[in-house]
Parts: sequence; C-alpha cells; structure tokens
Amino acid sequence: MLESLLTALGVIFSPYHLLLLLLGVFLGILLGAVPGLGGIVGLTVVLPFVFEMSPSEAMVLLVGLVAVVTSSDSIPAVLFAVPGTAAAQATIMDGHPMAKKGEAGRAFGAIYSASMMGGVFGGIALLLAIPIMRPLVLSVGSPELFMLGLLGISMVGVLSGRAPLEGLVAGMAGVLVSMVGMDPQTGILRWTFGALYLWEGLPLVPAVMGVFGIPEIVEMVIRRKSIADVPRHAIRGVLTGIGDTFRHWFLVLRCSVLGTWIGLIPGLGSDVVDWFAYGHTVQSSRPRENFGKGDVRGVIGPESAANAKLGGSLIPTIAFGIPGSLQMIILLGAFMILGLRPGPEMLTDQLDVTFTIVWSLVLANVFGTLILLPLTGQLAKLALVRIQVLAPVIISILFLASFLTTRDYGDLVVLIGFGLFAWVMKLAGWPRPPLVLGLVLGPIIGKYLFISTHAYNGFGWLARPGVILLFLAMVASVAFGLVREKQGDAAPEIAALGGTR
Amino acid sequence: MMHFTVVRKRFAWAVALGGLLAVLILAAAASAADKPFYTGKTIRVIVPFSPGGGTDNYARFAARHWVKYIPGNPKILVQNMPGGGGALTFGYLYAKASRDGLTLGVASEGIPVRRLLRRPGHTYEFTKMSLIASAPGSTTHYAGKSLGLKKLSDLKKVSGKIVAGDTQKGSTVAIINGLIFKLLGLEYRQVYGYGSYGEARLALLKGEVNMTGGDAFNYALVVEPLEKKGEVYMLFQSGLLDAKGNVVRHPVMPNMRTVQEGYAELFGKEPSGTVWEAIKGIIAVNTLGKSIWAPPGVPEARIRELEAGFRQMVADPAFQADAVKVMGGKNEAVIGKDAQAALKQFFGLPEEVVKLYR
Repeated sequence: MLESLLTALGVIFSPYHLLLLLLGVFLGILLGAVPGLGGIVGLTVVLPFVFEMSPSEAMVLLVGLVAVVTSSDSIPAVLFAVPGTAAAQATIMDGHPMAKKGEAGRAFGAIYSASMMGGVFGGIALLLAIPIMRPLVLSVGSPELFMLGLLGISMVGVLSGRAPLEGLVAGMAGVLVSMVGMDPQTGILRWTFGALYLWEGLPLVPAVMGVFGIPEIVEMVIRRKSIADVPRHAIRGVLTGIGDTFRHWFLVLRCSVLGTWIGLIPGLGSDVVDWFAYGHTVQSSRPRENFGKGDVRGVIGPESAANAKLGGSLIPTIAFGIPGSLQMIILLGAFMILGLRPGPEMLTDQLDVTFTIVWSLVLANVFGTLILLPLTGQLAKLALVRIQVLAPVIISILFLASFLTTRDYGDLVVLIGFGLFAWVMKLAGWPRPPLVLGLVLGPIIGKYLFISTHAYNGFGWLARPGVILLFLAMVASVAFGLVREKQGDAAPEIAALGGTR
Repeated sequence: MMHFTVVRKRFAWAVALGGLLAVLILAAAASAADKPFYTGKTIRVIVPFSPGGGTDNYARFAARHWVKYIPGNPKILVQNMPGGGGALTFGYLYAKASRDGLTLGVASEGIPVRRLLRRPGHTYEFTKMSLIASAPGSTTHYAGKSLGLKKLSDLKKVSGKIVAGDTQKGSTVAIINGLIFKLLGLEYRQVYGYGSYGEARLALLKGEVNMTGGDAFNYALVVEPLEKKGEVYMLFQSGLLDAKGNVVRHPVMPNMRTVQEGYAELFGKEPSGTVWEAIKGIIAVNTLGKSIWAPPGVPEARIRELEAGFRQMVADPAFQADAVKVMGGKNEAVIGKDAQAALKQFFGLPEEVVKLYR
C-alpha cells in the first residue's frame, strides 16, 4: 500500500502531470469565480479532451479542476453577495459583511487557507477511509438521511438570530416552495400551473442569487457608495486572515470532518454542506453576537467543509460507482470512459489510480491557494470601486449566471421574484438565510420521509439506533442554544446580514 | 422600328443575363454538390435532461464518434434542455426548431411512454418527426441478499415480502418492475423516490429494499460483480424485440434469461394476457432505447446522410471497442424506419393495456 502511495506521488510529480494539474487548477479557479459556471460546466468542457489521455493524466486534470472550484467561488460571494457556486452560499453570511467593513482581504486570507486545509484534510480522510469505505457508506439509510435533514432544519434557530419566529416562518416558506415540481412518489405535479419549467422544481442557483445578491446590490446602489464603507489596506488583511485560520485550527478540523462525512453520504446533495458547517460554527462558537456582521469564523467553517467534501464524495463514487452529486456523476462518467471500473478493484488492482486521485486532490488544493493568495490584494480593492461603476457589472453577472442554469426565461423570473421578496424581507428585518435553508433541505426531508415510511412500511424506522442518536443530537443542539440564551449570551445578528436596517 | 430594336436589344440582354444566371446557378450547384451540406456546420443535439444521466452520457458518447462518419465532418454540440420529463425538448423540436437538419433531439425510453399517457405538455407527434437511429436497451431485475433467493423457483415463497426500490412512479423501469410481479402473481410493494437506480442499488445493499432494477448497460459494470460475490440475485432481463416481434436476449447479457423465459421456467407455459402485452409494450420502447430524432420537415436527403453516418459508425470496430469500454457493451443500432414501425405499434396499444401504465 505504501509503495503504491509513493508510486502515485512519483507519477504526479512528473512534469507533464504537474502541468496538467496546474492547468486543471487554473481552469477550476476561473470557473469557480464566475457565478453560473462551476465544476459541472468545467468537466463537460474538458471531457472531450481527456478521451485521448492516459487514466492518470486525465484524473489529474479533472480532479485538479473540481478541487479548487470551491475555493474561488467565494470571490463573488464575499465581494458581491453572489455565490460563485452553490457551495459558497454560507460564505456570504459573514464574508460579505467583512467586505463591507473593509476586511475583504482578511476574509480571502482566511477562506483560502481554510479551503486548503479542508481540502488536504479531505484527501487524508479519503486515504484513511479506503479500508472502511463499505461499512461507512452502508451505515446511513434513508431514515438517518431524513433525520439529518431535520437536524439541518433545527439550525433555523441559529440562523434567525434575534428574530426566531420570523426565521421559522421564513424556513417553512422555503420548505414549502421547495415542494414545487413533480412528486416522484406519485408522479403528481405540485404547483406547476401548467408550466413545463416548474416540473423539475425551482432551481436553487437563481433563487439563492435573488435572496442574497439582489437586495445587497439594490441597497448599495441606493446608498451610492462602494462596497466597503471604510477603506483599509487589503494586503495586511490577508495575513491576518491566514492567522485567523490557524488560530481556529480546531474549528477547521471539526468542519473538515463534517464536510467529509456529508460528502461520503450519497443522497444528501452538495448544497447542504456549507450550511451544516455554518450552523455548527455558530452553535459551537462563543461569543457569537458578531455572526452575520462579519465574524471571520463564519467563513472559516463553511470553506473548510466545502473543500473537504470533495474527498468524502469521491468515496461512494469510487467504491460503489454511486455518485453523490451531479459533479460526481460526470466525474464517474469520465472514469468509465477511461476504462476504470468503480468498485472494490479500485482498492486492490487499481490502488495506484486511487492514490493518484488522493494526491491530485491534496496538491490541487495547495496549488489553488498558492495561486489565489497573491491575487487577493487586487481582488479586495474591488470593494473600494464606486458602486455606480460596479453595479452594472454585478447585475449583468446575476442575470447571466441565473440564465445559465437551464437557459429558460423562467430562471430570470425566479431570480427577480426571489430578489424582490428578499428585499422586502430585508427591509422588514426578517432573516433571509432560513429561507434558503428551507429551499435546500425541503426536498431532502420530503424524499427521505416518504422512502422511510414506505420501505419500512410504517414508522418502525423511528427505533433505529442511528435515528435515535441523530434525534438526541438535534434536541441537544436546540436545548444548548436555549440555555445559553437564558444565561444572557447574545444571539447572532443574522437578520442584519450585511445591511443597515 | 426604333421601338422594335429597343425591344430586341432588351431581349438580347435578357437572354444574356438569363444565360449568365443559369451558368452561375449551375456552377453554384456543382460546387454545392462537391461540398457536402454539413461541411463547416454545427449540429445541435438536444438532451432533454440535466447533464450526467444515462441519456446525456449516451448522447455525448455517440456524438463524439458520429461526426467522423457524417459527410462533411460537421461539429456536434450536445446541449441540455431539461423540463417536463422531455416535454420541453420535444415540444421545441416539434414546433420551433430549425428544419435544416442542424437541430436534433435524443429521447430516452420514458418519453414515448409519457407521450402515450398524454402527460401534460407532451403534445408533440413522434409519428411526424424523423427517427434517425436508436440504440436498443433493456432492463435488469434483481433481488438483494435479504430475500434469500437461491434459485428462480424460490420467488414463489417470497410473495408479500417483496419491497422494490424505484426512482419515480411512471419511469419505464418502475412500470416494468411492477408489471413483472403482477405477471408472476406475486404480492409486492414499490418504494419510489430514489434519485437514480444507482441510489436504489445502494438501498438494496443496505437492506432497505430487497428488489430493484436498472439499465442493461449497467449490468456488466455494476450488477455482475455484485452477483459474483453473492450480494445480489439476478432474476431477469426484460429482453429486446427482434424484427419479428419476438422477445430475445440483449447482446450485453447473453447468459441471462428474459422475463418470458423465466415465466416459462416457473409456470411451464408461455405468458399471455393483458399484463404480458403491457410488458411487451415497455420492451418495445426499451428496444427503441435512446433514440435520435429530427424535427418534422427536414429534407429527406439529410436524414439519409445522418442515418448512413450512424450505420457506418456502428459498423466500425473502433467504435464498438470504445462502446464496450464506456457503455459496458457493444452498441447495436436500429436505423430509422425499422424502429419507427415498432413505435407505431406502441402508440396503437389498446386502452386496457395503456391503463396498466398509469
């Protein structure tokens, strides 16, 4: 095993492979930074070129590309409150307020170093998980996935800050809206009003862009200022940010474990990981009244989890041929084209290929951060540009990125609809994150509740040990929050996300 | 006199111009004949689902090879237009897409079924569009370890214990899964909602369900290895319809019995009746498999060029070698007209059969 590990390392460090890895990383950074594009677009574009490559060459390029997308997608999230990909939703929570405080550089420093550490950790987790992949993946059934969905919903409390009731309503509204589309269990069309566009449900990316991006840009234009109210020097901020990550190394570790674990469960989807990490970060951190106003821990947690997730989600893809996300589906397709057969052979006969994946993952994260860090100084200066200059660009990006989702006019309607609704919410001081959380978790809860009751023919599954364990975890997290509240610990300032009320 | 000359002069000019024009047209026609229509053009192939699914995979795989065999070597661009379970793409193809042979669509097995059932939005007419070629598929049906099947006849003992995992009500695999249990007279429960048959297979390994199915091409890649380890018990393949309408084994699973053979083994007679006719209907759409369509009114000559290219591609051993690598088995193709006949029969199914699909 050690021998294959070193062989694989030797392969990666051959000049051609290194060049391909860097090419992948470079593409990944570009695709992640542009909202609407991302790993999926990147993979489909690169795919035709890998057919002629050897498996190890192709692997290095593809893994390099997807590994860093979740690092650079935070650039628009921090600067404009527009997530580069769905994995950067929670980064907006504190990243954008940091940019407003003139700490964009610090945010980027923290994000890139946390991304790197998370990614490296994900790679190591993949390595350690190789012998126990099977039981690890098989231990989580539909009832447990349902409970995980509920656990996520219990974070609404944390994400609502000082307006728990409004947060609950917003969260439920999100769940409700997520039910639009064809119900797989009965084939019934729910709330589609004859529009074919709604059959697949409301797309997440335009909705998230509407909820976070539109109100921010509207308000900035009204105030006629730059993004950052107080100009500060960005370069010094980068080093502060890196220091922050190292100071909170335990948070990075915890969120990386969380990210890897969520990644390795096929069925939870890739959109939830950063919210779980954010919820955990807020719940476990004290003091917490600054969350939502630009607390650096609020970007460290989600970013380390987002990059750790990839290592985790490669586990079911490699060991079972069951991809956990759209990105993994395409990656799996590429693996098959290259003649790789996912399954136990990946751990015996083809172990060096698996190790090539592990090394690509680790090195891509390191390279990605090394490329991104020198750029942050310039990027952070964007926060100082007058909004009259920036706004047309951001608005164009919002519309283009939304339209790329399904290339249907419906995408624009979703963007504008959610944008208007969220702007009203912002004016009224309602917390917007629970709305997004409901949108993300609604389908998961619905799906697994249905499967559980049908597969187990009733509610016998409630007695499963995993279900009970997760239920207790949920109760504990809610109770812990309530107790702290009574002791006078201030609630986080989520509703004020980046704004003046 | 003057007048006459002018007229004659005009006439001479007209003749000269007309001649010149004729020459030009002939020359243009000649050069057009030299250069195939598709030279320098881009064909758009629309996939009605998001990237990454079976239909998308097939479209991208086939497109990559197909271009090499179409005269003029055009480029092919695969685009995704998800919505309405295929209604958006085929509605567009039927009513709006350009009729020049540069826009094509790929249908999955489920789209003809939804058309037959007149699901909302599925208002296009397959019979008025041109079917260029299709790749026949089939389905697999297998049980998990927890059901304890050792031989086919054990099936009779597990009636009432069967819990089948499926993606969604109305998908072709789910429909045929249920119909097979019905044909065999077994009591069963179907659990819908798994994101894919990969997810359902994982649920089978976890013991959450004890029966599921999937695509024929997945058999060699993922089901057979599990079968060898005794993790699953392979029951049937649904099979293919041959030119005479008989059910035969799919070339990627030459050693696996079809449902028809299994029925004969269990009951000592050939299956018959409405349920069997309904199963054969689904086998017919599976035989059509992933099909490539052109909008109505595309010039016949272009359809022929595309067809010929597809036929050459399938005949090329290099393509087949890649098909085995990528798709898990050789990719036979049914070209246009033959497949269209099977589809016509499918759309003519009597109402009592169609009812069983709902």
